[in-house]
Amino acid sequence: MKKQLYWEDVNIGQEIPPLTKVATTLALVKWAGAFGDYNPLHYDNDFAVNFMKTGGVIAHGTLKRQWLIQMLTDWIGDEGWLKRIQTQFRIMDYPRRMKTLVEPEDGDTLTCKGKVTAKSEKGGEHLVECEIWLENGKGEITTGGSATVMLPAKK
Amino acid sequence: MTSEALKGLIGRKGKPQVYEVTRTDIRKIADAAGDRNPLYWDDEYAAESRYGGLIAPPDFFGWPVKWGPGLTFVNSSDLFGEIAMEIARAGYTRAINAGMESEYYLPIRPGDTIIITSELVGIEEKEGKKGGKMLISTIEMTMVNQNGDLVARQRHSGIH
Repeated sequence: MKKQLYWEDVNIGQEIPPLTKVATTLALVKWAGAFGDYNPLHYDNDFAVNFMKTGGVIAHGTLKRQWLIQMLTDWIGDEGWLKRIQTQFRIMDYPRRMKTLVEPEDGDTLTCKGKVTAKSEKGGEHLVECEIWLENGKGEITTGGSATVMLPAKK
Repeated sequence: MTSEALKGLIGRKGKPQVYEVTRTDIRKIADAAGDRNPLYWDDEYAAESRYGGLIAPPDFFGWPVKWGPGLTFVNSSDLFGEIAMEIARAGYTRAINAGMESEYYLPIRPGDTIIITSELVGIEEKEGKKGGKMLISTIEMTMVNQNGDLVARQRHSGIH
């Protein structure tokens, strides 16, 4: 069984345990297929450069968002519930190419981060507000946002 | 500043889309995100949890309904295709995902049938930072399950 986080254990300013991810060309193709977003911007480099003018294929905003969701659901545990999440895609993230079937080239690692901004009790729900963001290897915030989670209470 | 033709699109709704959820769909999404949460993978573990069985990750249906034919699953939305054509006619041929906001009300489970309706709720032309105009469109999706219960709502903004 996983460790459960309780509302009483959370303090304003507290950091959410970070989650690191590597965007690879392989990961982008898997996400395109599983999520059903077949936009060539995420796998066809010539299309990305010539038509979209992005300088190359870029990671899906929805994948970066899913990683932020994973950071939150890992943190709140099985008894917690993600009520709301809002994300803005600010800076593009470029994937690493694959060096072997299983190993990417060296390059950027992305880190999902967050911190608690408010706590409240409303209508019997124990809520926590968080600021969440994703940083690239240079420490730039490429995706920003906020979330509301509901946690179990001890009492 | 926004042209009347574009403003006239506000309130336009797509035909409801129906998705049947399978364990395989759930695992494909979780695998593609690199998420090994046992609530998505392990029937026995999930049966013992508060959910009493496997669930899908949040945002399971976050995007597919957004695209026209060929760019997503077979039952893609007619709404986005129509809007994209009007937007292209106004001179905007590209689209970038600018942001998304969701509220989740109920878990999605294998065997569920999810009915999604989408509506264009906003369209606005703005001056871009580097000069030139840009267009921001907002589509709201409402997801309801086979019992008629609201599962999730999502708003999605595109920059064109």
